Amino acid sequence: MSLRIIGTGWITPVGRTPAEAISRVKDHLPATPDQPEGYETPVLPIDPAFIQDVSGIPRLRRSSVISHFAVAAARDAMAGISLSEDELANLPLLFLAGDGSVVYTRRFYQDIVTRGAGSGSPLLFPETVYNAPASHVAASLGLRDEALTFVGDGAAALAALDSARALLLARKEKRCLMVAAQELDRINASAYLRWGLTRGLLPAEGAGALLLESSSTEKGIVFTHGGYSFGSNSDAASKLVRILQSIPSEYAPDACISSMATSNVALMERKAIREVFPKITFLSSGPFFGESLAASAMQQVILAHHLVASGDYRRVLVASAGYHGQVCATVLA
Amino acid sequence: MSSSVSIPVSIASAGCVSPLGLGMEETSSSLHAGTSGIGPVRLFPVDGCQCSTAGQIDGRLGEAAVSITSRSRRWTRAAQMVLVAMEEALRGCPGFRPDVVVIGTTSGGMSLGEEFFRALSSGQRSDHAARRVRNYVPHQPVIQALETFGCDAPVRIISNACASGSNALGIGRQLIRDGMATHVLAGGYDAIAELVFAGFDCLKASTPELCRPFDAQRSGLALGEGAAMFCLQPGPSELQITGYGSAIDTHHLTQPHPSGRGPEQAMVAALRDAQLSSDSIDYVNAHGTGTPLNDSSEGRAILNVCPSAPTSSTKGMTGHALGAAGAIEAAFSVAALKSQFLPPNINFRQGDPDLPLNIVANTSRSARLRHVLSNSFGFGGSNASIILSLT
Repeated sequence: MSLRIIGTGWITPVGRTPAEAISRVKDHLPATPDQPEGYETPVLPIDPAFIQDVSGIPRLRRSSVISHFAVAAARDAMAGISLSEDELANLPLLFLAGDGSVVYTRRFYQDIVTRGAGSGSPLLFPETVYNAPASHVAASLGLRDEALTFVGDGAAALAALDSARALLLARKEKRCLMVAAQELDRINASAYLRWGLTRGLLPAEGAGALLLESSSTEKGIVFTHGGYSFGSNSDAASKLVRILQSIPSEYAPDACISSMATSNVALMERKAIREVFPKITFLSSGPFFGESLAASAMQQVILAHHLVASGDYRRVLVASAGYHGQVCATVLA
Repeated sequence: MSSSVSIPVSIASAGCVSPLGLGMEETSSSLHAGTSGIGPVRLFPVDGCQCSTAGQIDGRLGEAAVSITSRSRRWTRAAQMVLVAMEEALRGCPGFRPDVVVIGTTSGGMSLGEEFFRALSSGQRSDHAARRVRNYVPHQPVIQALETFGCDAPVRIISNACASGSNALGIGRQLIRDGMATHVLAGGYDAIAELVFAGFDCLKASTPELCRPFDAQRSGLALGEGAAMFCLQPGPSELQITGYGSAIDTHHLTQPHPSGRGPEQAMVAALRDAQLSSDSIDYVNAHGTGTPLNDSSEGRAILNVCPSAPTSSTKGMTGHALGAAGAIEAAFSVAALKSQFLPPNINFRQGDPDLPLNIVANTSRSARLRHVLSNSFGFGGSNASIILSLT
């Protein structure tokens, strides 16, 4: 069974519509870095104009921007398909949070540290839970079925595609919505800077959404894997090789979308991919999407989908050895 | 809606640490005795909060973790909880090697995030805090524990607020039932953190008094902490997870719909999944936080689905362990099924006239139990129910 992509939505540092974001990638016009006040490093933020249409939704009035990204991307993914109220009520949602609502979390904790434990804001705290954006997406679209929030990095997002496949195999309903989102704050930007994990790659924010349908054709997401945990870079390399070697030969990719970061784990990732697929072409997404954990991995999957659909490549690999100690890969055809 | 049951999923073993004790045996004994694990908060200052108590794991946790691996001396309390619960579960099922690990949590390594924020703000020890904050990600306590046992299975972290632990068990069961995995380690963990404590306090969800689930005078919850892990595998056995249901109620981010429609949908889905009628449920282990709104909404759902089933919330004894609650309470349900007793709903004085439930008030009771339904609900309108059965 493959997962056919029947709708996509993304909020990226280089645009919201597929046309504008893809033309920036093809014309190699990278996102413009910014260093907001209080940040120790430049980042790739989202232009607030991209999400203006959702910021007026009453339910989102008090929510952090991660929920705005998630709702906007989800709405775009659903825009091309007309589902009845019942079909929406039975549509499962898989939401992928990277760092979650880190802006409100930092602000809430800052109040506690500076003004005492009893001074936290009841408006901020509920929005700090990882699944708050999923709840807002469900409310915005009228979803009432299962809504699961997974936490993780790029590899967790790719592994979640495997979970989506399992979910659709097990259910009568054959569609599911998957949304990943990330927001920036000075605290997570500082953490990435100090870890040294974003070498050659700027911390970013945004969202990606896929409306998926199970399919017996060999088009769409044709290979998924549950991934592995790793302890060291060499361990990650050997496990990524194991995953890549399990890709059936008929799905061997001719291109790979990679962040092209220069961190040790990213260099290892590309070396492992070349070891299994020596002739593969690497396409860099890092200058356009930056690093936004699950969200940038989802954006890579969406970019792969558009490149395959437009005939640029036959089969595209998206792989990730992520900060959370997980390694995973997927192939679109 | 799930497809029909294909492969039975058995609980081969379980491990648990909670304010009721370290290990299943101690937990079961405290649960039977109706012991309260709630006491003054020791881990951080709570001046200015209306609530000053919580269910905390006692000082033996560090020792128990270090007896498994000395490396755990430098781990967070959350990671030590995961290690101790995981060791007990794996010890109970020799040779068990998970294909996948599914864990529910809400706070992950929150204490490290707090430490990092304080270090950045003060400009002191920020390099040290930056190194440590790498372990902030919620996968890390699980990966650290798995490495101790030489396991590299992928880790899925589910964070569906306070339903996470039940979701993790339900997903673990689905993976085996649908032939996607053969051995799943599933569970949940959460350690008390200053940010979360202050959060529930500012919402006025925490009580300055005793936590009294389902009581007419209930005034709020007490927070708790802990971890529980289960080795799940295919095939019939004495103890099985037979049903799982999940639903979202988008009425409000923190308040359930008063009708209890979300909890009811999850409970009904779990019964359907288990192919059981509501009168087969011998005991409902309720979410029962002790807040007026939760207990009212859940009580209505229980009255609509299995009105006569003996019901108790164990959170009066343990506090609310958030993302771990569903897993810990599944461990309590296992203890109840194995020892054939109904765990008590302590601190109960007077039933709520609007909720004529069959509450197991204050003391445990012997009972013939075959099917137990355990509820977990959370912020964002997350609702999950699982059914555990003695076959």
